[in-house]
Amino acid sequence: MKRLYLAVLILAGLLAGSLLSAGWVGELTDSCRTRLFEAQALAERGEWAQARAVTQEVAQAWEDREFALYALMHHDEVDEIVLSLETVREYLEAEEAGRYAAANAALMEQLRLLAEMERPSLENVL
Amino acid sequence: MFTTLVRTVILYILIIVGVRLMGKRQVGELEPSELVLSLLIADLASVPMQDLGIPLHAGVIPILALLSMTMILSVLTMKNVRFRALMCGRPSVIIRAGKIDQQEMRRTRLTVDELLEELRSKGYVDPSEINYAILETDGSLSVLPYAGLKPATAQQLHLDSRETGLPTVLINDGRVLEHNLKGRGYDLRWLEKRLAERDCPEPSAVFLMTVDEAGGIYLARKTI
Repeated sequence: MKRLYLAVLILAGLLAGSLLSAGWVGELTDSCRTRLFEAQALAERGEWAQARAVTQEVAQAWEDREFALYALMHHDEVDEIVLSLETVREYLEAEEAGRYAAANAALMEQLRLLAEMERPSLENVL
Repeated sequence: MFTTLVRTVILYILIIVGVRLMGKRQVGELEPSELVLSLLIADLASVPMQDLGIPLHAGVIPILALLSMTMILSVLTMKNVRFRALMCGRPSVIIRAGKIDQQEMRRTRLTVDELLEELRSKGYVDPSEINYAILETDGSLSVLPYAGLKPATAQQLHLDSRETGLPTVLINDGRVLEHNLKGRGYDLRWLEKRLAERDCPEPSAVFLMTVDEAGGIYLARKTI
């Protein structure tokens, strides 16, 4: 019976871990998207310096959690976000409104899809 | 390179621990569920070993989940007879009173060649000599001949059959196993004496030496 309890405990631990990880990724991407949306609003008002600062915060937050992100997700997907963030920052530096808006929208969509992929849903299971 | 190495070591240890937890079964004696588990684990472990773009947990989590489920199933199969039959199947009687059950052979997809091969490997060439041949759930064939065709035992022949017990290895490839020697109540002086009796100068010249519970000694010298 000890083995049965141990096995059930491991399965429960794995289930809890997977739910926590999905929740954490969801929270992180949601907060990043909110901040990126704010940055876009600032850029649209012509406040480029503040938009750059907000985007820099998002990039820093992402970088700070890179270890966990690489451990939890496929490395290609994490790399893509890093590259997209870099592109967005470049357009912000150049203050190219059209290209920045397109790149930022693509980045927000990438973040949404990443969270969606980790979400414990029937859609993902199937 | 380093990542591949570390991942390989982690996954290897994980698999060894998992297989050890499955119990002391030989590969040839795997139940269907264990065979499936072995195949799946091998495949799951190899992917994160080779593809560094995949996180390690992509291999570790499914392996842990499979091992846990196997442990749960093994406890349930021990506790419940019906569940055991469902998971492991039931033994099939292939030969009954010398007659081959063709229906059962078809059901278990056992060919005549395989049946004859199994019988030959157990020392029988004629199915009519067999009282029962049972295909076990692990795929092996148990053959029970008629009582009159069973090899005669020493007891049946009223022969003196002295029990010699389990032989203990005293020298293994030139190395004296002192723990075994002491366990049998002997010492190095006794060993040297026995070697001298057999014209063996020293333990390093011995490939294998055993002693059974009746004091019978088997000695094989090194030839290379």
